[in-house]
Order: sequence, then structure tokens, then C-alpha cells
Amino acid sequence: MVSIEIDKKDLLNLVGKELSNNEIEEVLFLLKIESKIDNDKIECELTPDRPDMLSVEGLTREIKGFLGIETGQKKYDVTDSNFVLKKEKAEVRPYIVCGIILDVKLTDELVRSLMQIQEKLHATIGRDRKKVAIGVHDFDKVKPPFTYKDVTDEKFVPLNETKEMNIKQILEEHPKGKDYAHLVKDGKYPMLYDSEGVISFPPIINSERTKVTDETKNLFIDVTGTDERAVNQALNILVCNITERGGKILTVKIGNKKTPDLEPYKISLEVEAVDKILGLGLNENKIEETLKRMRYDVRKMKGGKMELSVPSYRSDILHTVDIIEDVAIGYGYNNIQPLLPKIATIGKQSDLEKLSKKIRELMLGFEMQEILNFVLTNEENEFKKMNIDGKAVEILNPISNEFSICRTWLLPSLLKTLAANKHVEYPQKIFEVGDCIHIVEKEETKTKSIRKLAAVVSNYETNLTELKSLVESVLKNLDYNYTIKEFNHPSFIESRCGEILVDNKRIGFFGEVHPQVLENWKLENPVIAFEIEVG
Amino acid sequence: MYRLTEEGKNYLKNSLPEKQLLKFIENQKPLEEVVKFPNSQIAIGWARKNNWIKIENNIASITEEGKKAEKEKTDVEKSLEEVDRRGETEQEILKVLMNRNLVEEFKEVKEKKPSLWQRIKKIFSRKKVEVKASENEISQLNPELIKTGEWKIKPFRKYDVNAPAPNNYAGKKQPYIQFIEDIKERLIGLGFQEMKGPLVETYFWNCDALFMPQDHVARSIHDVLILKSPENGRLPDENLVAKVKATHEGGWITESLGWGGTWSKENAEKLIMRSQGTSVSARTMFENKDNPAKYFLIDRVFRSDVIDAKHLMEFDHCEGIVVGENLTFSHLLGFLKEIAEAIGIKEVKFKPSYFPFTEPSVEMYFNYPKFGWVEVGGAGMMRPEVMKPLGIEKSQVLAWGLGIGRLAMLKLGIDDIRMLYSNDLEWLRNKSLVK
Repeated sequence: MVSIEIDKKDLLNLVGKELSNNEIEEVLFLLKIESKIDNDKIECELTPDRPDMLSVEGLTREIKGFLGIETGQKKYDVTDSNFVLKKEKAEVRPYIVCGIILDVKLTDELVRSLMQIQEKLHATIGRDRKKVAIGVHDFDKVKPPFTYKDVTDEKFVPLNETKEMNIKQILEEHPKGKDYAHLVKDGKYPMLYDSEGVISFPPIINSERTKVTDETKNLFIDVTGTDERAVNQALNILVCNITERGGKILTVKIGNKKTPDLEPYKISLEVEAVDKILGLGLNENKIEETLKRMRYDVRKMKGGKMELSVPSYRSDILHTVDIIEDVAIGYGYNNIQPLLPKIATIGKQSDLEKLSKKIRELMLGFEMQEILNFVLTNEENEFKKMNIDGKAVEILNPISNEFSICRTWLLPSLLKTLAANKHVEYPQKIFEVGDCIHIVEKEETKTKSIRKLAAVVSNYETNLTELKSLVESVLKNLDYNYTIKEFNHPSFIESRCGEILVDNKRIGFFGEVHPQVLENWKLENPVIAFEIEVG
Repeated sequence: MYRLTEEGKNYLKNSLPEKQLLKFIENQKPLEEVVKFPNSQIAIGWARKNNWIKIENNIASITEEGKKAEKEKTDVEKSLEEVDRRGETEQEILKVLMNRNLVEEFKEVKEKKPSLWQRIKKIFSRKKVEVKASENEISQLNPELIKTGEWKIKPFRKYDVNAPAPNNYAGKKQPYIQFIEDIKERLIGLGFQEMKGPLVETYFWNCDALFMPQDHVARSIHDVLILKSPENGRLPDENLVAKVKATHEGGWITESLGWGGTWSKENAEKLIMRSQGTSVSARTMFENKDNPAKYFLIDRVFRSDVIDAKHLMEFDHCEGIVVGENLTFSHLLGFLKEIAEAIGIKEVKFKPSYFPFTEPSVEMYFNYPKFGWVEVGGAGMMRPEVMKPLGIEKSQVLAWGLGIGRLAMLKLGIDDIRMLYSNDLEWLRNKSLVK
């Protein structure tokens, strides 16, 4: 989710209609947005697929359409200019597009909104400036033609600085330089020039010389990145949203292309295809009406076909299903009559879960309390405190040292539970049925989840015979044809531990937990325990 | 002869629960805090019986007698010491101690294994001592009294139904498991079959097969727990991999634009802790193809989230798919309503939403009389870019997920997700059944 904050008065001014708080929340909700209104501020939570709505201007455009105030595609005032950008060798960020907006009224509202959308575009489609980075300049301070190329070194005054800095200084000392240094490569620094020098060092920082101020009337925007589609989308979103408040767009010539390219994307849609997905039986006219409210232009053709113009700021349209969703949104999700699918199937629990359920119920008969623990644990608990060595699945980026590996057995989790409950009335009898992960090289995921059962009893005195009778009862109830043998396991007292074998394979063990292990867990009462594989 | 039980020994060592309670209350404390005291029921029961505390307006405060008792040894404590020392004490208090299960009677016999005959005799003569102890009334009915008819001429000793009884902790399922089992039962009732899949997964099944672009934020180190060892898994059959690659790069035959760029096999092979149950849906769709089917899963998933009251690095997902020809978005909404009804929710509303693998997508809100509208899950129609490579030719797939943790928290009346996996034995023992 992406969140933005907008000004309520500003929004209503732009929409040109008085709406109550409830009406605002309702229309935003129906456009995929969760919102909360706090006096004059509206906090919006958006899904990441609609970067074009990450500013009050973008929201205005959609709200006006949805409410029928202004429908169909918005027309933009675009004129081609003779300004040229020459692209030379640029390996790290090979794509650049630019645009100019004239006669912008740089009000406080626009400045705030512009800063917000720039930041949000960087975070979303920009992938934290890696894929897309945006620079906004005062057009009257730049002197075309422009050049974009990789350089080995350069010197300029970065934005909001007073002294010239070279690249090394920017990357090592400037806060933005430190944040984004990982996005550039040694000796290949992308640099954007006008005829007088550096105007931007993407994706790090602009120059002080071309800074936007209160007096700025005309904007120059550069967008660089690693993905051609994404840089174009970001530029289109910016110029379309800014000019929602007025202004004229001028293109810049880059090679044989002119940007921004606001030419809508044409796609054909059939009534039948809409019906196949939505099942609403909508006719051509109804589809046209809803899509116009979603800001598409629609041309009806013969035989239930329609040709649609998809606005150039819509970065989320990959397939006709994306447009069909807009038909549903325009129609209103809560106006759709829910239908019950007629698919007769037989419900069934998985065999493993069914068995686990039965085992749980069996354990309840022994007056045992079930515990639910995490699969993630750490080496300390899994091996060290248990007096053993072992190997487990390791996490590269654990969120804390507590959860850095996957458990291979359940007993440590149960001892951890006992350790957390020393003040609670004894006897304590607890069990867990849960998954452990073993490394198994031949598997597709090099691992295997194994369902296990473990139980512990702790009291001032414990009785191993009682535990053995419990284990045997479990084994018999599971129809295991088992044998029990003496077993040496460092977690248990020597000579007070047995292994459980089925077809000569060890499936579990039981015994009295070693006092050293108890000490490691700071447990004060004896503990008897067993653990077996069940699936 | 009499001796202390384990509980008696414990109290002799650590003082009686009712006395510990006095310390805990200090002067006065709200009752809701007092009940958090270990063994509070026993302690409160006796402290009240002794007139040590009084409870008014849900506040427990210590009486004059209580203050006195705090300073000196009570008769009960003195008697415990006496029993410990010499196996006897004053008859009246002894009764109380036996009632409280702090003292038990035992016969001083030499440690010799009794013969079979002796053991049989012992079984039939059990509790004889007690009958003798109070000649004129029956404290405990036994086979002999029934056989001889003696019960007809002797009165029964009164049982004080108000005397506190020791706690009896039943073996119980963990509360969250109880809730999950209920939901499973309902889904099975709706015709869903449970699916399973590996906890350690490749990016391929967790993301690529679900048309999540390789630079998607939900695949980043900030969202997913990535494995250090083992590092890489194996990709499934080459044919499927080639289709997924072609779809990502340029849409293949799905009529999609695709994501552009180059799809990396190396990235897809990487092992992670699965971050969504949808990885299992992807595997199931590939197996199931176009067969009409309903599948669900409630199982563990993992995220690189910092732990707080709302987030865990490991939690449970509940999700499912419906596969069938001629399924539409109207059916999906109908289905979601049906699921809501199955778990007792009457009012539902829908919000358009976004998930990388479905379109159209929807979020579902339940209306709880107590809490108002609560977002409880997401759903959508599986994208063609997901279905086609997996070999689904004719069908549509409806996919849905329920925020099972949130539903459980509402049901259990807790506001911290960590409580769902609580280790607190006292809470678990005292939590009533999840109905």
C-alpha cells in the first residue's frame, strides 16, 4: 500500500463540486482507495498499481470521471518544440525522457503535491530510484541543447548547497549521495548537461543552478532509468497531473523521438469478452458509459467490438482484463448481483491434517495442553541449549537473532514454553503437533517439511514409566509396529532414554531431559519428554 | 500418620497462596488485576473465607484481619509445619488441610512388596480408616458400607459445596487451532479440498508463476525471508519454465504486454520461506489444469516483518481457488458472500483492489455489530498471464484469501497478533473454549 496526504479544500476546488466527508470517502473507496478525513487533511491508502493517482490532481481526474462531471479522455495541450537532447553512451541508466511545461502557477498546493508525487513515484514504479529517477528544474534557468552521457568525474554545486562538489565528495558526503551511491558504478556516472554545465546527476541530485523557486513559471522535467516503459510512464504521469491545474506541454526531441509521448494506447475490446469475465450482461452502451467515466475514449465498431484509447498515464494496463476491471469499477462493485457458482465438488481435509487432528485429540485424553510455536528459531535454542550439534535451514536476512533458522525438532520449542511458565502451577503437561524442516538435497526445494509430535511433562518429581506408557499408547494408536532400544542422546540423561524404531528406522525417542539442558533453559523442575515423526 | 502433599510442601516453602495474594494486593487493587495473580481462584477464595480481603465495586482491599494475618503465622501455617515435623496436628485444622489437599494420610509400613492377597485386601478395605475416624457419620461411601447396608443407619457427613476445590486443567487444543479447525470444517462443508505445499519454496512458485515481476517490491529483501543455506532450489519442467519466461518478457500467447526486460532463471531458482499461500495455489493449478475443483489452504507463511502487535514474521494464511468453466466475477462475489455466511457474517461490502496475480481484484469487508466494517480478505479472478502458462485452457480461476489471523483475534477478543501463538500456559489453561 502507498499512502499520500492531500488537502480537502484543494481537492474540492479542483473537482469543482461540494462533497461531504462521507461522499468523499465513498467515492475514493469505490476507486480502490481507503481514506480517513481529519479536518482539512485526507489521508489516502492506495494500491501500488495506480501511480497516476498518487497526487491530488490525479485523484481529481478520476473523481470527476466517476461522478460524471467530466468524462472520456482528457485532452492535453501538447506542442512540439525544437529543443534537442543528445544522448551519448549511457550504460548505467540508458533511458532518458524529458518534458517542458509552460505557464505553471506554482502555488503552495502544487509545490507540495509535486514533491509528494515525485517521492511516491520514486518509491513505487521507480523502485527506490533504481528503475526511475525524476528531476524537476526551472526551465528559464536551463539553456538547451541538452546532453546526457556517462562521465568519469565532474564538479558542480548540488541542490541546496553553496559549494562545488566533485562526484567522490557527493557520493561520500552528501546525504542523497550516501543514500543512492549503490545505484551508480565506478567511473560511469550518468550526467545531464545543458549548454552551460551540469543540471542533474541522476539518480542522485540536481544542480543548485536550475532550482525551482517561488518565481518559477515554466518547468523542465527529466526522467532517467533502466526501463524504457517505466521512464515514459513516470514522465507522462507527472506532466498530465501537473497540467490538471493548467499549463502547456512542450516536447523535447531525443534522437528520433519526441517526449513526452502522450499518444493514447489503442486496444480493442469485445462485449463478449467483458461478459465472460464479469457475467453482468452489459451491453455496448453501458460499457461505453462506464469506461468513459473511467476516463477512456470509446469508439463503437461493428459486431460488438469497441476501440478504446487508454490514457498514456495508465501504467497498469497490460491486458484487456485490466480494462474489464475498470468496467466493473465504473459499474460499482456493490451494484453487482452476486451469483452462486454451480460447481459440485466434495470437500476433503488433507490426510496429513486429518491425522494431525486425531493425534491432537488423542493427546488431550492425556490431559495435555496444546501449544503452538513458530517454525523459525535460532541455533542457540535449537542446538546449543539442547547439548547437541546440528544443521538447519538458515535465513539470509533474519529480522532478529531470535529467528534465524528453521526448527528441525519440536522439543526446544516446548522447553522454551516451560521456561516461560516457571511461575505457573505444576504439573505442566504440554504438547505440540507441528512442522519441522529437514535439509533433503534431492527434493525440488532441497528441503522437506516433516510433521512431528512432541510432549513434555514437568513436575517436582517425574516418572519415566508413566511417560513410557503414554508414548506406547500413542504408538499403538498410530498402528506403529515399533521396537524400543536404549539410546544415547546428549539432550537426555544417559541410560534414561530410549529410541523408537519402526522398520529399523528411528522415528523418535523419549527420556528424561538432561539436567545440563534444564540448566541451560534455567528450568528448576525435572522434565520428561518424547518426540516422534508422524508424517 | 499424615504428611504434606506436593502442594503442601510448596506452600510451606513459599507461603500460602492467600498470603502471597495479600502481598500482591498491597492495600487495594482492581479485581481485574487481582485475577491475574497465579492460582488466583484458590487465593481469593481462602482470603475471603478468612475475612482477609473484601471486594467492593470490583476492587479488592485488605481488611484489618488481613493486615494482622500478614504479620503473623496463621494456624494453617503452624499446622503445616507440625505435620511436616511430626506427622500430626490438631484434628479440626487437619480436616481443612486434607480438604485443601495439602496433607494426606499414609500408613507407616516397612517398604516391603505386599503379596497379591494383601493387595486385594487393601483394595476392599480402602478408606476404612476414615470410617473409624468419625464413627457416627459416613464421610466416604465405600464397597463395604454398601454391602453391609451400614449406610442405612448412619448419616452422611455434610459436604461443603462452597469449599474451594483444586483447579482441574483439562487437556485443551490451543485456542487459535480451535478456531482454524472450525473454519476448515466450514470450508470443507462448502466443498473445498485442502491443499498442501512446501514451507521452503522457490521464487518460481511463490512469485514467477503468479506473474509477479522479478523486481516487484513484494519479492525484495524487505518483504521476503531469503535462504542463506540451502540457497537454490530446482525449477520444474523446462516447458513450464519457458512459458512463464515468455509471459513475463512479452506476454507469450496471453495477449498481455508482459513486464518487458529479461526474465532471470537464477532469480527464480532462489529459495525463500514462502511468503504467501498462493504459492500452493500455483502448484495446485498446475496439477489440476481444467478440472472443476475447489481447493483451500490454512497454513504457515513467512515475511520479513518487524514483530509488533500487528505484525509477525511467521503467521497463517487462509486461501483458496475455485476452478471451473463459465465462472465470472459475479460468481466470485457470490462465493465470498457464501464464505461470509458460513462463518456467521451477515453483511458484506466490496472494494476494488489490486493483487499482482488477479484482475479484477476485490477486497472484502465484514460488518461486525461490535466493531463496524473490518477488512477481512482479498480475492480476484486469476490473470490469464498466470493461468495460460500453468496449462489452464478453458476455465476461469477464482482466487480468494481470508485474513484468518484478524478473524481469530476478533473471535478471541484479543488485540495483539502475538497472542495467537501465545506461550502463556496460564492464559491457555484458563481460556474458555472457542465457540
